[in-house]
Amino acid sequence: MTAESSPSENITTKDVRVPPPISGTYPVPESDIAARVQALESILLEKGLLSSDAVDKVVEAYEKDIGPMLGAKVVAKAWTDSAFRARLLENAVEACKELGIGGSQGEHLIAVENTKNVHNVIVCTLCSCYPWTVLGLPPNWYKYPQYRSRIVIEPRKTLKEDFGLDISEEKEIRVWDSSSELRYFVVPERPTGTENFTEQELVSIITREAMIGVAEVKSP
Amino acid sequence: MTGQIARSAGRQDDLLHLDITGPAAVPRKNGELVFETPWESRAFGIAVALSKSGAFEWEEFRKVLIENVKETEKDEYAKTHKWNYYAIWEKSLERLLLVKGIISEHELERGVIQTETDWNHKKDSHNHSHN
Repeated sequence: MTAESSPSENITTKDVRVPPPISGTYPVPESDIAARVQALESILLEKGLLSSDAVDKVVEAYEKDIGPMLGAKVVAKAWTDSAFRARLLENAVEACKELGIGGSQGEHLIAVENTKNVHNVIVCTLCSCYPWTVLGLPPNWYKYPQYRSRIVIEPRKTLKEDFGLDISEEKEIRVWDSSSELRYFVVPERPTGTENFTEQELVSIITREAMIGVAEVKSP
Repeated sequence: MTGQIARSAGRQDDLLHLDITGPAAVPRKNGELVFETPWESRAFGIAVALSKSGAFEWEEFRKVLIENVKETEKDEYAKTHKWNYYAIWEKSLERLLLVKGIISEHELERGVIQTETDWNHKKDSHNHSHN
């Protein structure tokens, strides 16, 4: 319950009655849930509380635009502009604003940089806090309890076994635990062989996984 | 899901105030798709759209979601099986709408039955036309 007890949250949060917990949820046929989603949408449409178009727009925006593309733009800019890189590491919220990327939910964003001595990886041990503004929606595995507990306990082993990422023993691994107020994302190392790449070409090789810290960026 | 992406590519003008540069093809190269099934994306979109239109505060939804995720993790079945995050998302949305009185239990159950009837009907008539 750490998220609920944080004082800064109480400022913006109205009290809400938390409904009774789910019971007997598993296993539920997926078609049953799909029907409930459809029913909710139909009822809300009928009541005029929602338009199908509004839902489409949200989904499209998160899938396509607020997705990892934005984070990739930030990283590519940091790779090609050292002054921007310094500003990004100093204050990611302000640096992202320079690129027109702003958090609608007001969480604080922190960029952590991979170097030849340090590898960073992000997690949310409490739930699934994620740097949405730069990375879009989290992949499903990011939300699984297996990842959330294991990456903290044995990061090197987890990266190797679950993601095929071999981090040498000499390298320090830092695991950053996100919260509702503080969200991290990783600035990966720029791969060799990309010296002549344009910013746009760099964007195309930067993956979501690299910005979570479970992959490296590879030169194509 | 490919259809959705293709559709969105043709609707640049409709998009939320985001200044995106670069070709539309790049996001598809950039990792896997975000939603595994269409209903997951609908469940997500409904909740975000409702919070934007002021039906509830995002924070209210988030609290219910966290609570339900925690409850699910205590569930014996969920401990040993992969659980679907958006199933919990849907349940949370449902509960919040009921608690806030935005929809009623009766409306919801009627809606579910209606949806299932529609789907079965479509399935039946589809099968029929191929017989």
